[in-house]
Amino acid sequence: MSASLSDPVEIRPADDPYAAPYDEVQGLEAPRRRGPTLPALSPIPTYAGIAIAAAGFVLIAYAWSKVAGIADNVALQLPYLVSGGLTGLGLVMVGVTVVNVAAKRRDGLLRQQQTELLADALHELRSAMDREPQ
Amino acid sequence: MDEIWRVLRDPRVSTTLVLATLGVGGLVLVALGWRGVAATLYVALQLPWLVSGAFAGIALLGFALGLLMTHLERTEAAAERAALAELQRDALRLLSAASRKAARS
Repeated sequence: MSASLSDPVEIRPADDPYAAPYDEVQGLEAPRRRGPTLPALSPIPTYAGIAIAAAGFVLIAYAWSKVAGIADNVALQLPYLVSGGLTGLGLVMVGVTVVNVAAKRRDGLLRQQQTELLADALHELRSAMDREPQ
Repeated sequence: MDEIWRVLRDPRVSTTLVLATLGVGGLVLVALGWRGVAATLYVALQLPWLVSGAFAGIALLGFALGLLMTHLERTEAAAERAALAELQRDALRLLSAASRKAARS
């Protein structure tokens, strides 16, 4: 089935852009209402990710200072290697992932807003062309 | 020279360069760690090199590559948004032309 200019056009209400009939289209689901989450445009997750990664580097430096301070016993060095070095490495990876996810959320929201604006403009255009006398 | 500075002042280029330099720094740290570990046969003296060289180098490399990936994705997303904005402007121009035509007839 293809759309034509004579098809009826309905503009989404501004207060609920996912109102019918758009939520009845197969394959398109309205986003579920979830609990309170951090806004996607908030810079807090990015700063938190950088802080977590920085904590990882600090932990690696701490592990190095402890391991270098015990120069004669490997058995005493290994716990610092594992708890400081590996945990620090893990924290750096977690921090980078948090920054990555925050950037993806932000870009996704901006893209969604822009696509909605474009869709609204196209719907308006279609309505204007339908109103035009043939 | 001015042209080079103009290119370097572009945040896309400068951020990529900084992150690539950090990644190279991570590789250099790993190489230094290897050098330190290879220089002695005592495990107790090798471990500090392992932590400060290899662990810190891998962490720095992962950090730089992760952020570089994010940065490149964001640059692509910005280009995509710019193209969408252009489409939007074209649609509004069309709408305005259609409205004017409808008003005239």
